[in-house]
Amino acid sequence: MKTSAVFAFCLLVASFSGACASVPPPSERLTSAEAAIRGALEVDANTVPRAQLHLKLAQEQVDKAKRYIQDDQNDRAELALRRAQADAELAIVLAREQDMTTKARTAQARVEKLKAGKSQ
Amino acid sequence: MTDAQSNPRQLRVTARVRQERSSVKNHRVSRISWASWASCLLALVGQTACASAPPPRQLLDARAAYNEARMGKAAEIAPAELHTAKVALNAAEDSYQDDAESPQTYALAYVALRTAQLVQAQAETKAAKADLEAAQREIDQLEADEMARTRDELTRAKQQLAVRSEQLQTKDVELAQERAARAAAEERERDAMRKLAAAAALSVKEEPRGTVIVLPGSVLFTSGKAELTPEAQQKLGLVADTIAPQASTHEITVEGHTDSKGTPESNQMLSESRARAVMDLLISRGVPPQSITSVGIGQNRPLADNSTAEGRANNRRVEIIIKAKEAR
Repeated sequence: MKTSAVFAFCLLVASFSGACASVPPPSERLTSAEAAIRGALEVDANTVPRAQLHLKLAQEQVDKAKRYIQDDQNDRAELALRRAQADAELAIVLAREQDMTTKARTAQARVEKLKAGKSQ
Repeated sequence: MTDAQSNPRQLRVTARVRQERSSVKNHRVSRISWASWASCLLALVGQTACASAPPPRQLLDARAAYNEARMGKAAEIAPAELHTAKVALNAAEDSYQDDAESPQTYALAYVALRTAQLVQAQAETKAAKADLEAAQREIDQLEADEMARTRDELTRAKQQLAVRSEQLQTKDVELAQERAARAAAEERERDAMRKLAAAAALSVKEEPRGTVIVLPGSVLFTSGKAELTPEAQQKLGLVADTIAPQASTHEITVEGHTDSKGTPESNQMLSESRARAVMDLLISRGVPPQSITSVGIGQNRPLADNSTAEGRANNRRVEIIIKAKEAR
C-alpha cells in the first residue's frame, strides 16, 4: 500500500511538471536567437525607434536565458529564447519596413517634382 | 475477567492503543485513497480546469494582432506569411487549452503576438515596395518624356539656329554686296568728280566734311555782284550733272565766301546772295531742292591772306560741299 501510494504520487508529479526528466541546454536556439539579433543590428534596427524596442527586448531575453542555463533551468531558457528570436526577427522586419517606406516616399516626391516641372 | 480487563489503568492504555492503531489504519487507508484517486482526478481536472481560466493577456493580444493582420493588407499581399501567424496562434491556443497558465502558454502567446506583428510589417513592406516600383516606373517614363521633349527642343533650336545662320550668311552676303555697291558708287562719284574737276577746271577736294568743289568767285560773278556769269552757268551745269545723281543719298550745301574788303555786313549779304544764286541754278539744272541748301559765310573763313590780291581772290569763292547722308 505504501508502495502504491508512492507510485501514484510519482505519476501525479510526472503528469504535472514533466520536468522530472532533465532538459538539455537549448544551445541551438541560443545560437539562432543571437544570430537574429546580429541580423537586426546589420539592418540598423537600432536606428528605427520601433525596431530598437524589440531589439532591446530580444537582448534582454537572451541575457535572461543565459542566466536560466547557468541555473540549470533549461526549460525556462528555451521559452526565453523563443521570445528573444521572435523579437529579433520582428526588429529586422520593422527596420526593413522603415527603409522601404522611406524609399517609396522619396520616389513619390520625385514623381511629383517631375510632374510639376512638366506642367510648367 | 483478565488482568488487563480488571485494571483501570491498563484499560485506559489499551483503549489509547486501540485508538492509535485505528488512527494509523485509517490514515493508511486515507493515504492510499488520496494517492490513487489524486492521480486520476487531477489528470481529469488538469484537462478541464485550465480551459476555464481566463486567457492570459499575451494570448488576447495575439488574437487581436492576428485579426488585425487578417483584416489588413496581409490577407491579400502576404497570405503565406499570414498563415505562419495563424500556425503560431494555434500553437498558443493549444497550449492554453492544455494548461492555461503554464510558462509555455505565455511564451507561445508572446511568440504568436510577435509573429502577427511581423506579418503586418511584412505586408506593409511589400506594399511599400510595390509603391516604390510603381513610382520608379513613373519616374522612368517622366524622365523619358522629359528627355524626348528636350531632344525636340534641341532639334528645334538647331533648326532655328541653322535658319538664323543662313539668314546671317545671307545678310553677310547682302552686306558685302552693299558695301561693294557703295564702294563702287563712291568710286564712280570720285571718278565723276575727277572728270568734273578736269572738265570744269575746278578744285575738288576730299575733306572730313565731305567732297568740296571750290568755284572761284571771279569765274562765277562780276565783282561785287551776285549775278552768275555765262561761264559760271556752264561750269555749274557740269557740276549739276555730276551731283544730281547723288542728291538722293547726299546732302549738298552751297557756301558763299568773300574776302575782307568792305564791311562784314555787306560781305555777309553778298556771300548769302551768291550762295543762293548758285543753289538756284543747280536746282534749275536738276538737283532736287530738298537735297540742297545755301549759306553765307561772309569773310569769316578765309583760305588765304586778305592782305594780298591773290589771297583775296582765293577767298572770294563758292564752295559746294557734298556729304553722304548718315544711315538711319
